[in-house]
Amino acid sequence: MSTKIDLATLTIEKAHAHLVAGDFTARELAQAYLDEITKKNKELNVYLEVFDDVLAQADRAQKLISKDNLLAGIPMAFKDNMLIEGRRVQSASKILDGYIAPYDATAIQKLRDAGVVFLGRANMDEFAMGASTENSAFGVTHNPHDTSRVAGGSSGGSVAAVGGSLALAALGSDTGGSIRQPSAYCGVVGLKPTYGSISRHGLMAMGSSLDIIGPITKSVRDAEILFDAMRGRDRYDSTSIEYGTQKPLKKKPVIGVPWHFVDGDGIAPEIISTFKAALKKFEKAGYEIKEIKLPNIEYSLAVYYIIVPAEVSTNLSRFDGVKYGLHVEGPNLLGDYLATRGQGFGPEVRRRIMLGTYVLSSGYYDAYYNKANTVRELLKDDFKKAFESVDIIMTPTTADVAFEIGKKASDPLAMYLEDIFTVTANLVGIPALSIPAGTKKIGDKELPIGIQLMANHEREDILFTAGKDFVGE
Amino acid sequence: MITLQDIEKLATLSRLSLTAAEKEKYRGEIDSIVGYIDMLKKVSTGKPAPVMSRNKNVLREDVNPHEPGMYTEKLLKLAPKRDGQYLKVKKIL
Repeated sequence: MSTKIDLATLTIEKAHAHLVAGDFTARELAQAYLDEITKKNKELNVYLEVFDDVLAQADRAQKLISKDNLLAGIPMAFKDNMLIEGRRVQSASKILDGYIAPYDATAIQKLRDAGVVFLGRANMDEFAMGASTENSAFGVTHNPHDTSRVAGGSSGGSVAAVGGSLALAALGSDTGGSIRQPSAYCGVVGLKPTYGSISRHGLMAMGSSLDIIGPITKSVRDAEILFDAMRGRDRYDSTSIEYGTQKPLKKKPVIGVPWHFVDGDGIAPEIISTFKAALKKFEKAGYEIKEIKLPNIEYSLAVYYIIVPAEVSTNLSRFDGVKYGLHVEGPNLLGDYLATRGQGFGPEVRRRIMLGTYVLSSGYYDAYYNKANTVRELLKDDFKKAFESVDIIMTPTTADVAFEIGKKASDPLAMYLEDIFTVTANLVGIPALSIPAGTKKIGDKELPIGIQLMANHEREDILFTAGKDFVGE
Repeated sequence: MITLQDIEKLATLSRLSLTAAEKEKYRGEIDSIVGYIDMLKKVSTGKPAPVMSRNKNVLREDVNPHEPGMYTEKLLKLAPKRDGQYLKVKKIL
């Protein structure tokens, strides 16, 4: 290797140029990440498993490197809820102990074909339920900017891998903020794409009407590269869409700000000042800023915490100790179920399964589940109307910087409120991008702050344009 | 107000065994979450819209089946208990 690889500033775009120029090989790049993992993984708890064939993968990828293949030889981390054929995968849950993926998820297959190097599977909140990775059965992931704080969640491992340079990029999944919230906390770029734009085939189901896979990267361009590589209709996911190319906007996008929602209770002053500074920066770059109203947005979180548990209780009924995973013996068949699920699932998963069973039960179905779906439609209308006058809706990504480990662990409702700015994009199905916008200094630590840009369905292009303008790519 | 009996019923319906301490903890937590989501009762929506999927007939045509048994071993291998080509469970009746 001619020069030491600077992992802190490396992007997919730069690494690709170096690989093509022959400045370093795919094997040398992979080795650089393996070294970093050896140094940092014990402290950060990012990887549940580092694969044993990383260098062999890199050697194979070397042959695929070309000017047109942007992803060959790029080392990535994968959230532990995506199936990689022949590899263990368990959504950081004990109930899938010993499970080996029998096939590749579609997104995984596409990246494999491109020559991406799979470093390992990353920690997460069990079955993607949580906002801190404290719900992992394998311990919390630490924030690379301050190890006494959470990395966020549920894709905390994937995001800390990128933020701590233990991977060049990562995949996460986002049901209500699980890519964007940790991305804000760890100072990286996180994209929750349009619902259906990337196949969910091979992604373990949490809230099927909201789940989506998305990239976590060091730059906006990198997120775009990965999104382009994974998107498209898939015969194995009936909700996937044929993603059309959009006409580029003729002028600078107009940004709408729902101030009535942004400037609410419990939003840290540094978040608001960073947000205002970001708006100024956009204004200077020629963007028009408008105030907008989203009349039903205050109900988003309540809608979300009805629909998600309902879908969770349904989706997770498949874990019965019969077909795969953990099996705990009981006195009879019912006893087997009770023991397997009682011991195999962690506290938050059990809480959501019971809550979902409650909102779907016959006496409460109309009051909760049906009502939530109706309000979800109102939310969709609010956004549809808003996008008639603006191209982007901007909010902070989170209400504050990353919190200290343990601070919210005993209060599930406080943890749910972490998602206040992010859940709406999932309910409406639109794309949303979190980008780093500033920091808050606490002691000698600089803790990252993110802003969130949302656009209309299949308008990721607008988010990429604005994101690049903002960070100066 | 969520009662301990509610939690016991939900746990049974959900096929989850809980300890006495867990039941009490979940009672309080689920009660506070239900208290929060109750805010939706304030929204006047009129008649609830039926939940409809935009998808119709999403199943593939029933043609060109794959070779029988192609995936059997791959999937059965993952079962905690099996008997030949069968999954093994305790007697149901």
